[in-house]
Amino acid sequence: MISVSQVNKTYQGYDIDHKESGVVLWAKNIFKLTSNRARSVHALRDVSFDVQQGQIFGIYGANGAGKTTLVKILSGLLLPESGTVRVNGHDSADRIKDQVSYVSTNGWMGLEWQLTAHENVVLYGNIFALPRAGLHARCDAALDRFGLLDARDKHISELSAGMRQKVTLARGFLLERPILYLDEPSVSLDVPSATALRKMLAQYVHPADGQGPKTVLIASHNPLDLQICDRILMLSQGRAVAVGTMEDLRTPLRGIVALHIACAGRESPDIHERASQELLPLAGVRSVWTDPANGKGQTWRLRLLVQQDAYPTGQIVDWFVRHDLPIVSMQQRDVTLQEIYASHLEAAHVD
Amino acid sequence: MWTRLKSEWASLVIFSKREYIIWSSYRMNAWMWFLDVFFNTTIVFMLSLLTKERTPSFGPYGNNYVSFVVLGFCVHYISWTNLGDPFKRVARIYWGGTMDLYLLSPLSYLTPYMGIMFRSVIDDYPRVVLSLLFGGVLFGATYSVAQLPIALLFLLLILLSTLGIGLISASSFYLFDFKQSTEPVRFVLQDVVIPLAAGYYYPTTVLPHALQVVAGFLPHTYALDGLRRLVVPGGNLTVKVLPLQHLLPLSPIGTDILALVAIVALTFPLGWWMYVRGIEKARREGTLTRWQ
Repeated sequence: MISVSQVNKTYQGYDIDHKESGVVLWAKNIFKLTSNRARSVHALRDVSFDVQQGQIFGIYGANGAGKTTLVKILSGLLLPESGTVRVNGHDSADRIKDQVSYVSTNGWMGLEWQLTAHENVVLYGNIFALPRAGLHARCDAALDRFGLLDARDKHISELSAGMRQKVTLARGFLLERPILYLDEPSVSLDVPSATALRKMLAQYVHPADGQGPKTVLIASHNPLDLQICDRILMLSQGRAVAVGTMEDLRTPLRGIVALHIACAGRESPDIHERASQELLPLAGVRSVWTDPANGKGQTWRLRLLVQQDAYPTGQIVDWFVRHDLPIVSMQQRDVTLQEIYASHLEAAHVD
Repeated sequence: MWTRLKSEWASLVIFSKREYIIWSSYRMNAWMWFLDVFFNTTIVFMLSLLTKERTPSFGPYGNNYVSFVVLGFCVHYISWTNLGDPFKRVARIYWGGTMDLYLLSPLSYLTPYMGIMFRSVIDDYPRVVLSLLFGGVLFGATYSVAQLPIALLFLLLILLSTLGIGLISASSFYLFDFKQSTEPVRFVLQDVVIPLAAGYYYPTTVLPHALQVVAGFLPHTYALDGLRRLVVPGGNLTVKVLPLQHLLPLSPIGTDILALVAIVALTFPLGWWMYVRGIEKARREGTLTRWQ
């Protein structure tokens, strides 16, 4: 359905603003325009993968990893420098765009603020040349899918960020193309809405009305969005670090679990360094991460990736006692997508 | 082909409806629009009082100063929509983040650009009628309608010729990366050369020779020459005034039409080509919208 081979993309005259690309402030527009045309950003480097019809495919990566660039190339909006892209049998950008419905939550999401939610969806349907007959009913059905019928006559400026995002999603579902792209689909959604969206997507790929299976591609930095994916591509600094099913991706961490240890108060500035120096040499301990305290400073957390059933619990607890760190809770959990991603980055020697 | 054209036309209508909803959602717009034209026409009337005691002559352009300038306004309003606004229009699509959306649709590159133009059309084109109306009803302007079809042809030609130049101006947003509030084509023509040399308020014959030569390259010069000869009472259809009229063995009106057609034939395809090249450049460079 989608085939990508050795795709490269470079932005000339851009530089990465590292100040804005951190996790804390996850700004979308992290490429800062520079006057120096010689500076460039390799947004994608030799990226290759395939997606089969009926799959939900995920693209996971930090901000600036190249996810949006990749989705734009896959939708025909951007042209790669080299490499080939084939979508539903088409390799010309002008043909590819007719195969996909692209829902982007970037920027203003292409919504007209002076129009109502319903008018926005109708405008979209008209721009995409949907048949006039029954268009209004179809638009209402798309809004209803996201619980927006009550807000259909409200102007976009009167809607919350989450509701605006739902209007964007409703538009995307209106087209009924064989392939649906979602770029950061849950970024402004509350937890129940994001869960409902995932449920809807899982049903969407195999429609009950007898139509052929659809294909969905989700680009996100949020692991929850990718829970429903059949396969996931991990991107970092424009490189495909790994691709496969969750099981495939977990392979390097087979037999590994995460130990989450919450401590009261705030962490000291050198805690990560000390924990790495003193816990990593212990048998069965593979990696150490520190999650800083929340705003109120009530607890901070140390996460250890450890060999299941073979890690020295006593020695680990002793370390906390020795450093006068009061443990609030200690839980063993499955490794998360974020941890799997980090281990693949480590293996690929990427920051 | 026919289906495609129908679909593009339907989209233009939808865009126009949207632009009307947006324009009418700002209630002050209609008042500002009305007052602006009223005061502009009033100022011209006051200036015309200076010549009240004498019988002024504007050469072949009759002797009614209010009619003379009101026609200048008509050309200015049409020109503003087609030449002054296009760059801002592309900037609006870019900053609003909707260029991606439009390019994913089956629309031609030019349809969103033309569709979004309608807000300016609503804002500017009725001013043409209003200024003719205010001039005629309140301030003594008179118009000859004997040659109305040819006069309308001149309005159509100034519309088309400025459309081409406007496309060149708009294309510079992507093609030459002018992302600031203005760009040279619009600034030089719309803000500097045209107000000075096109002759909105005075006949170009009063200009120094060098500026008359410059005026010879502006579509406004020919449109105003033709319109004033045809519409201002007392206008003369045979006396040659503009440098090009002396060069060609045609009537002044024929020369004006030929010059305007030549400008349309040159600028419209060039503007179209540049606009398409600009969008394609942005698609390669990833600069279609500010949101990456």
